[in-house]
Amino acid sequence: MGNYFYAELIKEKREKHLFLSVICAAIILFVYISDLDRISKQGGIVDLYFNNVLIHFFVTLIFVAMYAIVIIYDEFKNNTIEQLSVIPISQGEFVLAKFIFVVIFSIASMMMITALSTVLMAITGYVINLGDILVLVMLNVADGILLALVAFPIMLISMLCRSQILIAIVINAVYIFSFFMINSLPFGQDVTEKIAAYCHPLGNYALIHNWLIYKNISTEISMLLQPKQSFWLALIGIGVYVLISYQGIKAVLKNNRGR
Amino acid sequence: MNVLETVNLQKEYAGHIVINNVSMHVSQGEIYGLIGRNGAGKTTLMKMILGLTDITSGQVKLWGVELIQGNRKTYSRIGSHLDVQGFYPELSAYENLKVFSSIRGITKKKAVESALEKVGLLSEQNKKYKKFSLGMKKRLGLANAIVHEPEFLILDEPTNGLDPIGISEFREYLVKISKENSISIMLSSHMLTEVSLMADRIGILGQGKLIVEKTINEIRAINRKALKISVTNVEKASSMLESIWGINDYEVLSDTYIRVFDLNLDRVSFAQKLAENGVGILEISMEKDDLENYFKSLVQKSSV
Repeated sequence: MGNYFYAELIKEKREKHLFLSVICAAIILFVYISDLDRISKQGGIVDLYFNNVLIHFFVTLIFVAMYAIVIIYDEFKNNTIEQLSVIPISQGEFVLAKFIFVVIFSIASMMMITALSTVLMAITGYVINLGDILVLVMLNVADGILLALVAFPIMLISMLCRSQILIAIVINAVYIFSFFMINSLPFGQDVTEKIAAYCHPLGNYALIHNWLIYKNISTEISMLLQPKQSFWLALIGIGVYVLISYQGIKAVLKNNRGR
Repeated sequence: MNVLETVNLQKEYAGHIVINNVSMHVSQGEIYGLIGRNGAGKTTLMKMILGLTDITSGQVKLWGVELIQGNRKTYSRIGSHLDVQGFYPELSAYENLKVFSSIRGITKKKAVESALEKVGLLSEQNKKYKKFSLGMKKRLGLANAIVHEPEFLILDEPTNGLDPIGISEFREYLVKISKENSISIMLSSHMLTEVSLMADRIGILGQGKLIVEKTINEIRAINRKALKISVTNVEKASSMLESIWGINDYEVLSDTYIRVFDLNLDRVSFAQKLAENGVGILEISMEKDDLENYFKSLVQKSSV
């Protein structure tokens, strides 16, 4: 596994796709700065996070998806996938090494925003609370891992699209936006909420995220009531999607052959 | 022992037979030259052996074990270099090899440097792949094929793009590793003469069919330098060759032509003696050792 991780590290050192996380952080920071004057001087970094959590999540998701697409696309664009096939690679280790880099990307994007906004708040005279920062870092790590798990199907779709990056982007966009369309389904609100929470990886993510916040952050700050759906079912849901995607990617790599 | 054996290998694509019933053999420590014109199916055949393209029917056996598609464990014993290269353009030569050698799990120190040195790229190891010339890209592909010291090398037109000195050095290197380390090598080319300088066995592929599979000695025997003599009486001329000059190394080609392989034959006294015995010489010429013509004639025959 270490060999595969090292190989990814060598690639990343030159390809520098991780810099996408800087753009991601810059966009969210811009949103944070525009929102800063709405927070009182007694407010903290956690308030700023909760004020912008949706946009924070959405922008990071888009960039994580882009990163996952690009690191898979590169192997097909450069035709290195053929070299890797005849080495031959251990498909599982290859996928996991890429997944670890998606996790790193995801956590780095989240933490960079936390670090930059903390500095910004300190400069502009806000009270910095170490406990708040630690809570937020913990949330960042959890969110980063969860977002990377959401990216597993994205990696599978990209793998299936091979060097057709535009098709991969379109199908992945459909995958992401299908979550937001669930609410428009002609069922009762209760049913659509359940479908969203259990049947779509993004819904699984949102529910687990909400449970983590509910358990760790006071309701006054998060303004979040106890989620109605089960944490465990959401965890099983995302686990199933990850497992299917992981096996799917392995199968694609195993049977990677041209005409 | 056969390192590679294909049994009635066939590939059809879009209604066309691209590889037609190919049964070939590569033995341990042997250099096998796969010759064919562009589009003859050399690369496709190699890709089939490497599991990079689907097989319609037939078998590929590596070290006597039938290759099951999707099971690529045996490939760790093979080094390959196909015409289409896959390297990361932003990475240097060293980094590219490091990526692949890490994945191969190579722990030997200086393995990458050693492979780069063998192909003459050590001084360019820090140059990015995207800035490489075609020849340098070829060399890097070769370095990647040998970095893990494989038991069997599959090389698709490996000397394409190399300069004459590079070709000669590389040829020497292949012969050396094949003889010293008993490494089997299968390489493709469209130049029979070049391959004949290093191959032990040659397979000629034409329109997807394996037309000929012979050892280089068998091919050379067919293409030996000879005196081609046209006479009015072949029977008398051949008996005189044996009785007067003691030459048995000849072949009768037709009613008027004999091919004499003993080049020490004194042509003047031969002509005189024949004339004295009432045999006229119509033509006498030296046949060249022409492998390219042999290749051409075989390929042309196959396309008829």
